Amino acid sequence: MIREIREREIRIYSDAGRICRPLMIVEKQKLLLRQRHVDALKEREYTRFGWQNLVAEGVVEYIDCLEEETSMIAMTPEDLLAKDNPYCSTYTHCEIHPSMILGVCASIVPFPDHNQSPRNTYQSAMGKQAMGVYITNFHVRMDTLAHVLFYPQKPLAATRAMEYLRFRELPAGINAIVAIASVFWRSYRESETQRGADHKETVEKPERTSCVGMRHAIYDKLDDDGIIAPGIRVSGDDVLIGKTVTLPDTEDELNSKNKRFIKKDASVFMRQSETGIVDQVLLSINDEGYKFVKVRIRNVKIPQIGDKFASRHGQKGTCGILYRMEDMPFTSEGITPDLIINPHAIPSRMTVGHLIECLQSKVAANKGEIGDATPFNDNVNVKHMSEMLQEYGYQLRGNEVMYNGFTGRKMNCQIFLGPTYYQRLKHMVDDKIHSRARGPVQILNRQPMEGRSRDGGLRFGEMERDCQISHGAAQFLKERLFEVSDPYRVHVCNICGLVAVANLAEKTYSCKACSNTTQISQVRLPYACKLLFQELISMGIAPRMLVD
Amino acid sequence: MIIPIRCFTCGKVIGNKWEAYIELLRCDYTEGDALDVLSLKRYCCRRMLLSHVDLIEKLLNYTPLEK
Repeated sequence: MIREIREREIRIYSDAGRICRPLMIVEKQKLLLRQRHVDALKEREYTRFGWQNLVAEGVVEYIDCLEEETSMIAMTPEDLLAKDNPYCSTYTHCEIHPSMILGVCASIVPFPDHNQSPRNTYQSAMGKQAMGVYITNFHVRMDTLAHVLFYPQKPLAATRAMEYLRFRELPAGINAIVAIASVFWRSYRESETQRGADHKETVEKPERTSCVGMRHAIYDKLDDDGIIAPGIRVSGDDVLIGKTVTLPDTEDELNSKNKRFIKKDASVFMRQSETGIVDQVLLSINDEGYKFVKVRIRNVKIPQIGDKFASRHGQKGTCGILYRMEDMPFTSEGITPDLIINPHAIPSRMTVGHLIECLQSKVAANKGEIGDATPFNDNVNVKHMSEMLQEYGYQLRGNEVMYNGFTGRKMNCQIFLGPTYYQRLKHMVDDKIHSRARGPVQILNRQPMEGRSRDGGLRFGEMERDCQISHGAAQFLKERLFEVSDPYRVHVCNICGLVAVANLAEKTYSCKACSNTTQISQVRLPYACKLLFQELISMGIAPRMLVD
Repeated sequence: MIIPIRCFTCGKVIGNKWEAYIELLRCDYTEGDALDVLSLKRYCCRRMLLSHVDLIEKLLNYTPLEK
């Protein structure tokens, strides 16, 4: 509920699903939360005094975004105590903890108060692409596409908000041992991809003797019921569900040859460039009584060059090279990094939180306790962490002496090494790799198709065109825009400039309107151009090609 | 998901230590002490047990193969 003074209105906003957040109520510069509430909360088992009681007593209230506009919110209770506060003396609310300002995605970031702010924003967008176990019943579900991480780990440096978000129960990442060095990198992570499809009509194994329109694919992989069996390896263009449509038996009786084809193939095929193993087949009936089939394909994807990974600080990147363990640099303890990032990633992006997370995780792993990475917590600082690390016999800033993996020689400088939580993002090269020399064209304008799934071409766009013009590469431009796109040829009457009739087999050419059979030229032009001319003609405009 | 057999980083076998680790935690050991008792020295192996989430227990609530 808010009061709009200028419009002299009181606005009541009570939509279901509007976002509210809890704040402590302040009256006369004092929290309504008293010591007795805190005591009662501490003895929760006996007094049964909980969050609901706090809300009921009016100590805490839920504020929505419009009410927030009209309230003065103190960041900490200490701000209220400050005598003669020059900033504000009319607080209405107080934040439960400063980190409660952050939402779900931003709460995942450790030490966001040490990062440049856009980096936290980037991570908030990227965390949604991370793989994990998105739901615990994923192996009974039939999702269109799902990624599952084999060994998700909970982060060694966690924020307090994560506890309430249950991020530790269903995490999305791995604590990789990360070295910050300009060498190379690798990582261990595996995942599955699944795909589903469904359809109606007659599900059966199509036979070449009775079916028209069958593709050049192996139909033998199908079982007798026309559906592929679980456990079979399938690759691009294999049949997953055999399906036929009965042809309407009309005038076919005149032609006895066509009579033998009584069905048309309408099978479901594997998408090109995809492979996998049939994981599960689901057979059921929908609410209209039609039978439907879903097939799920499983696929293990070991990290490879080109796969995308990210830490929790907006530091994303693709794998550049994979090395065997023995080729990696190692420490005297025998630790080789799982992953190496380039130090150039740090200075310009100013993600100090990344380094603090690494240090905190290293302390946490040695101490055997999940480290605290909650923002705005002055009790956790680098000095303290360094002292702890030194107690465990490591260099206080987390650097370690490393040896070259190829030669076994000691490296000249020490390397910053420690566990950092890394996420594998769902963009993987194998889902993107694409090339085309020849391939399908669109029906309307006969230009190459668009998109990887249709084996399409890559667009030679305006900017690329501008580039070639500035180089003066006219021949190359013509090749890109015409020869490899939609070349076409028409015969044009030299007199009227319109398309003429040409019979190339009999070598007769004619323009009926001009009664001209000799003055005809052959013109090569893009099919799109011919199409435009025809459309213009249909509107009563005559685009004449002057060929002389 | 299920405890990996080897430490991702150094290759030490840790798959046999999970049950013992859980048992130690049940006997009111702290995580750090439990890891020390299991003689996991390097932080790479320690993080394997410490940060492991035994999701397999939850996944087994939905057993598709049981008919």
